[in-house]
Amino acid sequence: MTTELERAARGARQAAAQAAASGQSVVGIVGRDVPALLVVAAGARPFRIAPHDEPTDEADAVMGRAVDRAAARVLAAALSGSLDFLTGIFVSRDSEASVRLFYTLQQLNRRGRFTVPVHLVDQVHQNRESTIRYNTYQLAQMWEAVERWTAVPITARSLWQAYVAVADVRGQLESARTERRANRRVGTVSLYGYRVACALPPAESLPLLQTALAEQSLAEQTRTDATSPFPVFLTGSAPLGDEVYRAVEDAGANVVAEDHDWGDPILSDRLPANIDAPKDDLLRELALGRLRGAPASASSTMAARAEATRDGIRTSGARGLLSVVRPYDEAPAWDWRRQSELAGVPAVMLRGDEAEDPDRIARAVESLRAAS
Amino acid sequence: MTRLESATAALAYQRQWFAGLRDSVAAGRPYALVNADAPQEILRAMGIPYVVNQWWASIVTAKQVAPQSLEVVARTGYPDDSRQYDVLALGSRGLSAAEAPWGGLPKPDLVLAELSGDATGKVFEAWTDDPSIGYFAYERTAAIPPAGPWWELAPRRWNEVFGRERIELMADENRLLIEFLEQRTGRVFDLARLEAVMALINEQEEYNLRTRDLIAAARPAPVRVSDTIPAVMIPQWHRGSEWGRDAARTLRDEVAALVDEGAAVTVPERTRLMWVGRGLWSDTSMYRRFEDEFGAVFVWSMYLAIAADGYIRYGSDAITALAARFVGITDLLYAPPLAPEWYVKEARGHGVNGVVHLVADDVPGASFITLALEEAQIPVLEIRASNADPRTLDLGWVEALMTEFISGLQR
Ligand code: SF4
Ligand code: SF4
Repeated sequence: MTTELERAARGARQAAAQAAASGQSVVGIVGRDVPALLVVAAGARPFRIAPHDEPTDEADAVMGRAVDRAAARVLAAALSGSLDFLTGIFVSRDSEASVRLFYTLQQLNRRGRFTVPVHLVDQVHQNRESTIRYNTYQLAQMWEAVERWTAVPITARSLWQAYVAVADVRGQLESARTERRANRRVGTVSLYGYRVACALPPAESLPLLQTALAEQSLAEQTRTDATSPFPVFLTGSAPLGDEVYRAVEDAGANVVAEDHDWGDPILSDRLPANIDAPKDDLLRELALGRLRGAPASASSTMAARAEATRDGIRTSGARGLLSVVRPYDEAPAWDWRRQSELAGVPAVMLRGDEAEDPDRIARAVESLRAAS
Repeated sequence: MTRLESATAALAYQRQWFAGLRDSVAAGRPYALVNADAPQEILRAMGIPYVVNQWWASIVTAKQVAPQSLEVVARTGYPDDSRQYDVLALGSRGLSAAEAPWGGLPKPDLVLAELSGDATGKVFEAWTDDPSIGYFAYERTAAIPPAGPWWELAPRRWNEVFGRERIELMADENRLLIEFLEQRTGRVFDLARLEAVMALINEQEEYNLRTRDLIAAARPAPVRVSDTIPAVMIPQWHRGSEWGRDAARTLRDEVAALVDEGAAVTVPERTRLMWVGRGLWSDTSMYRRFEDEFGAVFVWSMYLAIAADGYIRYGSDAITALAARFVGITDLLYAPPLAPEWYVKEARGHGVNGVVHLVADDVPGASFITLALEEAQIPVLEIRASNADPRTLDLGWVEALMTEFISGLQR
């Protein structure tokens, strides 16, 4: 059954392009580390770019093949012209692949092969005062860039409005997360929810999320504990689409929590507590929000990841740990040793070209269930 | 022609130095393992000896125990197909006494790295599986477009090349490293010592700059790249010592004498080549064959050139000057637009007929280097390989590609 939420997730790019055609500024976002708050406050429509498009030969030739497919897919989208409607693109410094993508887009800009302006939000990730200062500066640069792109100044009022709108969406996502942790909401729906929240403006995503939550509770009343799917915590590479989640569900299990940047970690990055603070303080709070958020594999220590995974398994009630790691996504395989040691539940890692193959995932789920 | 005396001397010194390091560690003194892209000068100034991770990896590779070292890594539960070169030192700690090169790498007291890529930090964190080993990490920030030719601006106007905020971040981290080292070793940092180290390094690199310019201008090429590499690299690992500075001066003198004599690697010299990317210099016979059969000589490698252009920093604030040296050192070699512009300048300066570009997996922006060279009308052979993993590189294939390329240039 294709829900409205899923349709909205799949149609997000088209909706963004239509908004752009009707004169609205749409700002593209790559990765979790770019705060959409500033984009909304500058009067633009934030659109986080999902790795939809199949990589092309040109993308591989320009960026090299040895890079995570997620970045290659975004580059393929840029090269195909299907992102030309954007006013600008902010790229997170969340992984080597993103940095590579940024350098590549910047060079394509210089050569006129791609004309949408690109800006790297170079936030780094150690919890140190020097890092916080640098990241605050990076957000100030982002602030300037988005004002330049949209020609709309960020004001105290626009910030406040953006804050309220973004906070409402987060509230919906948080309720959905609670349902899911009780294994009353399936992983795919949750994934669509996060995608919608990141790819549509708050005014459009909020009603969709509200409806989905209400429908979910209705469906719930008819289910019994005996039919509860086996709860799994998903780690490893951020999924390209919903295939991994579907494969888990088809195997009679459910991804009840995850630690990739299209999932629960989005909610771990807190909004500033005091939106009326002076600009520097506000940006510092925003930088801290991300630094104190859930550790991402490519930018944190193995120790921090292992602890976060253990905590995530506990709070979600997961009974198995599944890691799906794509080629050229180096970090998750390093995390695995300590993650699996600390997990406290059976753990399986799939790696390589076939990691996302539904049959392999089904077998992995089966072995987790058998061991638990 | 015979081997450069500077090269022979450097290789001998390195053996002797390493034996001394092992003795010092056996006597209970601390030492650090450092990744090449992280600043080492503070350790030098504090009298804490260090081994450069990539140097040790080259020894492990040369002694052909890289596969065994990677097996050790896999047995520990870490991937053996990621950051293979960076992880060789860690794996080599598990080699048997019979296998371990040079008596083996002693256990470091601390490891130091920059968070480049997604996994370098994890490779170094893995050392802390032994809780007695300390770990310090520098952030890695992204390159910005420079205000002009970086090789002219970097020695004094570094903010215009790298950005003030990036440099300030790294300078702050230098201060944190000093605190970390003082706490762990009980030694006291002395700024005057660091200033002396920085001055010695500028002298050393000024000699390298002259050596590079001599080789660039000489026709025919007076020295082989495979010879200048140890004569430059080993002193680079000892940057900031008097021996390092003196070794660079000796190399300059030796090259100058060879130029005066009209020495030639190959007569007649028909094709001048440049090697971009990590080197495959261990197989010297391959390069000899190109010299003998084609009169083709490699006149350039990044090791001497980056020593000449990448390191010199004149400034009264040593902590900041040090940050300005390291904040973008890898960007200069790999990131666009810094790297492509530089390779074009070097290719022209050395009058090369063609470039062999070895593209490693983990290098960003490689295609823009090739593109920039081709746009400057310089033919490029791109070899796509992971030269990090000894198990995946087929030298026969590389040689065949290069033979075809050189024949094409001479047609
Ligand atoms: S889940 Fe897949 S199909 Fe759906 S919107 Fe995202 S990328 Fe597109
Ligand atoms: S000098 Fe030679 S052996 Fe030593 S690290 Fe450099 S290339 Fe390797």
